[in-house]
Amino acid sequence: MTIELDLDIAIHRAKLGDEAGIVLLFRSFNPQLIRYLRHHVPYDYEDVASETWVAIAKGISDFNGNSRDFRAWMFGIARNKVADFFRAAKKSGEALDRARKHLTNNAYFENSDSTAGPAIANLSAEEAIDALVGVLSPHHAEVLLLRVVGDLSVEEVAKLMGKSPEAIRVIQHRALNTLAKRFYRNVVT
Amino acid sequence: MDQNDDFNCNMDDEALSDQVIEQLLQGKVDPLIASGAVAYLANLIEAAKVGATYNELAQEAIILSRFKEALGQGGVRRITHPNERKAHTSFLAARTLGALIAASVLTGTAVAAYHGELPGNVQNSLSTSLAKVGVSLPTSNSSTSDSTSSSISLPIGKSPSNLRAKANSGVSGGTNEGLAGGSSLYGICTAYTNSQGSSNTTTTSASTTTSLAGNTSTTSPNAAGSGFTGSEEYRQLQTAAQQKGETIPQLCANVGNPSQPSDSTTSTVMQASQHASEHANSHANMHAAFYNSTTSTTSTTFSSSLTVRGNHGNSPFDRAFSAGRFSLSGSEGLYGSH
Repeated sequence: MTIELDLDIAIHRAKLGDEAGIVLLFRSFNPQLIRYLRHHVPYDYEDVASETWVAIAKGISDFNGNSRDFRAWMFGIARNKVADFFRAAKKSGEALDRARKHLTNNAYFENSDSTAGPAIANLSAEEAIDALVGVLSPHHAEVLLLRVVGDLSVEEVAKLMGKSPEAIRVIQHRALNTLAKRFYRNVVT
Repeated sequence: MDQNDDFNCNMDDEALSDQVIEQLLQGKVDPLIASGAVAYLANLIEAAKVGATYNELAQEAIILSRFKEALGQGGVRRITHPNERKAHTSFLAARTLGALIAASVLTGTAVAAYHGELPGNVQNSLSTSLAKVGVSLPTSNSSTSDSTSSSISLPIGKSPSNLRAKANSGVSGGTNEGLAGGSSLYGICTAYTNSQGSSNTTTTSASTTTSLAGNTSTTSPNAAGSGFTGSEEYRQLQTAAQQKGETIPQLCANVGNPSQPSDSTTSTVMQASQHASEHANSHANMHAAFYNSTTSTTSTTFSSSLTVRGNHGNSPFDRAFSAGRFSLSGSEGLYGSH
């Protein structure tokens, strides 16, 4: 509760241009943002993150809400920035190819052996996220990312993705059961 | 089946329940308690939620800089829609009007407080409060009336009619003539004359004793003179003299009492001068005279009071004062009714 309160104050202070407020917001939310963006744009996530923060700065004066609302708002901006990135990449082709290559090479379960279970204790956040969403469809991966990395609720994810909360629950249910079945299949085989 | 049993499900037999999935996604499942796929997923999710790493915060300085730069750009939002612009303009106009009204009220109150014209209790409270911070304001006790405005202090032992004569020495004869001429100049000149002592005055003595309605008062021109020569009114008198290319004594010599009838005797004029200058010594009194010369309207009783003063208090004014009625037409704000 105290952290949430501090973040609420930080949002207010960041609106006024206070450096301490901005720094607190950055340190609290940038790791989540980076992890989310690294999945989508693995080679350019820092640029997209920077663009996201600039967009936050431009819009924060009109933002009204608490830290939870801010988190959802930030991921909404990040999603748009990813879409912008791929629109631009589609024109050049280079970045898109890199992103696809990263996703196909990073299917954790495809490369893992039966000892994957014990090995996950040493995974970094990046590797864990890749293991979670690397083999999922884009929609499933997006729901899991927003729920796990973004720490958003079902309702917040539903609003961001333009779906109903029930649809989000179905997606996350299928996604995690898919991962569980893959785990058992790898363990057995 | 307790909670631990839920986390020990066999994927060959059953899928993860919605409850377990929700707890997994929120990071509430302890991988050490769970087993199988649930433990595995709990481990992954726990690792995905781990605290920030150095690399994830490495861009702090860059992003902070860009954030602040963009904040300045976003902070000044342009209003493009006509309706929004209209509403914004109305809001600004209303705000400006409100600020002007507030400033007027505050300024008026401050001026009234400075002149001691606020109602008694308010004036006393303000005077007491501001005295603590070194600001001197007159109290309502120093006013001649608690219900009407007055900027003239009532010295101890002096009657209102004395003050009345003094005040009228600074009352304009029907127009706001300011210092350019007329009664305000006359009032200041009398104060100046008085401040110069017997050698420079047209009055008969440096120390003037006035007897009116049984009250006697004595003033010391030397003491007042030092205060007057440093006053704003003195500087204004200097300016007026310079504008006319005269010295102050020359200027004052040519200034007559605008309220005095042309057929008044010299002794009456001198008496009026004495009465007027007697109480115009202090800075505050002079300020009041000047203030009223620019704000009040015609005085109709001054000449009669002076004239009849020579007739030993038989004027309508003195009769009214003796009867307890005390009003001053045209300058009612000064004294009001007792």
